[in-house]
Amino acid sequence: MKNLIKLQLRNATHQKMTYICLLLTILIGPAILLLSDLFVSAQPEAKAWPEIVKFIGTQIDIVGLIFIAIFSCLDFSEGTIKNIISRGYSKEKYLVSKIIVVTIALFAMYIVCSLILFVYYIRNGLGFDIDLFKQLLVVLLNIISISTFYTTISVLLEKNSSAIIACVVLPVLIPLLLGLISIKFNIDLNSYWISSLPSNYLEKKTIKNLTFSVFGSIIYIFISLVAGNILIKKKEIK
Amino acid sequence: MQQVLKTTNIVKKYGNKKILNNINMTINKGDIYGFIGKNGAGKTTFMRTILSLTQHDEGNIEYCNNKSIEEVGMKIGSLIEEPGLYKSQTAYENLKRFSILYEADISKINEILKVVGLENTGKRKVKDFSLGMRQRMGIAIALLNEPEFLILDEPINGLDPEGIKEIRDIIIKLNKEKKITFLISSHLLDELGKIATKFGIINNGELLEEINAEDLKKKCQSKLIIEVDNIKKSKEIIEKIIDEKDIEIEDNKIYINNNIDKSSIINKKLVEKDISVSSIYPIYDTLEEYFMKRIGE
Repeated sequence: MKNLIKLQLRNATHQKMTYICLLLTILIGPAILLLSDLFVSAQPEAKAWPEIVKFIGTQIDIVGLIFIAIFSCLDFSEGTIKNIISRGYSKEKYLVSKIIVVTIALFAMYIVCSLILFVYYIRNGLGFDIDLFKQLLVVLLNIISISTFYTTISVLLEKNSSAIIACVVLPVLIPLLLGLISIKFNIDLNSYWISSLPSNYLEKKTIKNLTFSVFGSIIYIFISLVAGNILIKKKEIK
Repeated sequence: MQQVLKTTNIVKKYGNKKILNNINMTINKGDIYGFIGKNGAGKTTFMRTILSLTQHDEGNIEYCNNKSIEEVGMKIGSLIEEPGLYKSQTAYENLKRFSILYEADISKINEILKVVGLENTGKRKVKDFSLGMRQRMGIAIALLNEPEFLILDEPINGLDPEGIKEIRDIIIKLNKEKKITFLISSHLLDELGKIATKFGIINNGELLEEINAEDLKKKCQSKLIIEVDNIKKSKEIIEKIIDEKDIEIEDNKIYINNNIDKSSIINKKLVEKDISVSSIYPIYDTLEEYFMKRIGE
């Protein structure tokens, strides 16, 4: 496992796409938020932490999913997966190593994006919120669940094009479907969707919502790992 | 003799169709095992199965006396179909990445690049390599961590004659100098015939025969040709030694089927009866002819 993680880390750090995503996280995310402050409200101190944390989470979702789709399929598109499995590494360990490295990469994007915004808002008078760490942890846990969920899907799909479509379409299509079902049956299903989990707590900071967000993410991680391990074991390596 | 690979009754199905049907293969240390079969006979599927790239439905695979690929995988190199390479990277970077994975000595990368003749590729990306260079890159990756067993699927496919010779020389060199055992499949049977010490013939997913090179040579000796000064008298003498139906006369030569081992007796009897024997020699089937006969075509 250690060698697999080392290989995947090297793959990630020697790939232009990683740096492009990191750059996008740095440039586009904070830029949008900062420009909106400058031109729309002109009062950065009017922003609230939950709103900023939620924005960071969304930003990581968008850039991160493109990274996940491309990086997860690299060994399949290059055919190097054969060199890995034929030397005795199991497909399950391969999947877990991918998830770990994707999570590390997303963490890096998250930390960079957060630091820029925190420095900016604290310098502009936004007071430190005692709940900020809880909010960040909720988003952080959600990033792990998103890494696990989408990396598993991308690895199982193998092809870059399919993975990109899945990572772009699913986050739009599923909430839409859940929204329609929710309206039809008058129940709230949207809050159960992986990307919506942190919002529950960020919008209403209660213990119940915190528990819901945390356990929701853990359940997504667990289901993705179990289903991924079962499915990848049966996978033919081409 | 230490067994490097032993498979017992390997069955692989796609739906109800058996792609591999009870394959029992044994490869001993030091063998260069030539795996022969038509397109779709099951060669690649078998190689993929023993490397865990695909799951088999029945049977057992043992490496080095009862070990699994998880235990010995680090010492097994392989090149299945096209080589898996990080194409936007250099040859050195590719080997470095796989060295990390295989726990191979990074200081030996240049030595391996030299073995496969890619030591001067410098900063050139693998995507700019020719087909032959990529094949050699695949072999270089397979050679990392000093493997004891190399599994090569069609390693000379698509190569020009020079490339074929280079790969052949590499295989012979590694087998002789580093005592590496090989399992090689190829359509180019004459090429395989030049290097293999043992052959396995597969057809429609069944391993029809395993035969070592010496026995194959004997089996390929299909006819004995005798040139004499008196054909009629010679025929009468030979008929006393072997069955009449195995003797043919054509172009003033006597052709004898299936009795190659009796050449010295025939020669002796002819000479005793004052027949002048100008030549007596066997002719051989090529590996291709033997293979076609064996699969019934």
